Amino acid sequence: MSNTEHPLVRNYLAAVAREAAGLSPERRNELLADLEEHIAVALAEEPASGDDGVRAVLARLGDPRTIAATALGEEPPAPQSPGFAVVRAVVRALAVLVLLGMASTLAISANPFIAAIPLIGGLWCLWAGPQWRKRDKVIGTAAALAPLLFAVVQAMIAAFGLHLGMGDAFFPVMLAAVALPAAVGFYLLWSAVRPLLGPPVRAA
Amino acid sequence: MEPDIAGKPVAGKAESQLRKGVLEYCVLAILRDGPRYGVELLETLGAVNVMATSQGTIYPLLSRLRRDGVVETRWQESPSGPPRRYYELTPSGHAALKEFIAIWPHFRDAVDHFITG
Repeated sequence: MSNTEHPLVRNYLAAVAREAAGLSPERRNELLADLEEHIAVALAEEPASGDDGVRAVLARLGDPRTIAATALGEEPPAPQSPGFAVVRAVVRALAVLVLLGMASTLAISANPFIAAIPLIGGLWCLWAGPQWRKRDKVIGTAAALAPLLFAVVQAMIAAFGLHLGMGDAFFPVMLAAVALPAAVGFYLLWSAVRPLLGPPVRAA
Repeated sequence: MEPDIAGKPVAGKAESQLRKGVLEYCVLAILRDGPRYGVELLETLGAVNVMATSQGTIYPLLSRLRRDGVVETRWQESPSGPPRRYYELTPSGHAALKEFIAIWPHFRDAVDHFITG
């Protein structure tokens, strides 16, 4: 039996493994192998024998938490792959597109108050998205509000029997109120993804 | 100061930050005179009080030095106990140490200049 099979040593290495859970598996296994190797050598040279010797060797090695924290400090933060960033930007842009699309469709066809739900969701996704500049966010918000505005104006016309002389222009205006958010949605999708598809981001 | 698990006083912030900055060059300097195995290297470091730290924290550092190519290791049988893994400087390790040795006196003087005003 190797002297690193001692229960105290097993417990110690298990504690290091637990504390070092944040390390990559490769780095963690390397650390554990280094420590086990150290313990084997140190025990062979340790004057005290038995459990006392094991305890002395482990006490000099130190607190598993401190060792794990040092190892985590040496590990450079995992670079996020550009592929992942593209996927995330596309998913976010599609969420904005779908939610604002739902909002404009509902605003025209049903109760504008129901449209508020996807509208708020879509705007939240838009403003939380780091990939858009403020200008894009303002454009997106204005476009998202257009169908709602149209629905409200239309409801007022119906309620008060107003005649604004829209007449034949009603359908083109309604189409524009729906098409505008769709067009802006695609613009947002494009502006989110375009910078990621350009030349690879230069490493810092 | 409260004692840590090894019974040594817990280092203050200034001490541990300074040690973090210079420890790897102390390791390179110890290896300048020839290969050492892990336990031996740690005993040499631990013999100087200010560099004494929980021994296990040196292994992540040694692992990085290996990855950076400033040290390399080779196994050697021992007449007593398990084989030892010896660490030795590579040419780039020698160069890194040389660079540190050149800059250190300036650094030390600059700090002295400010703190002994």
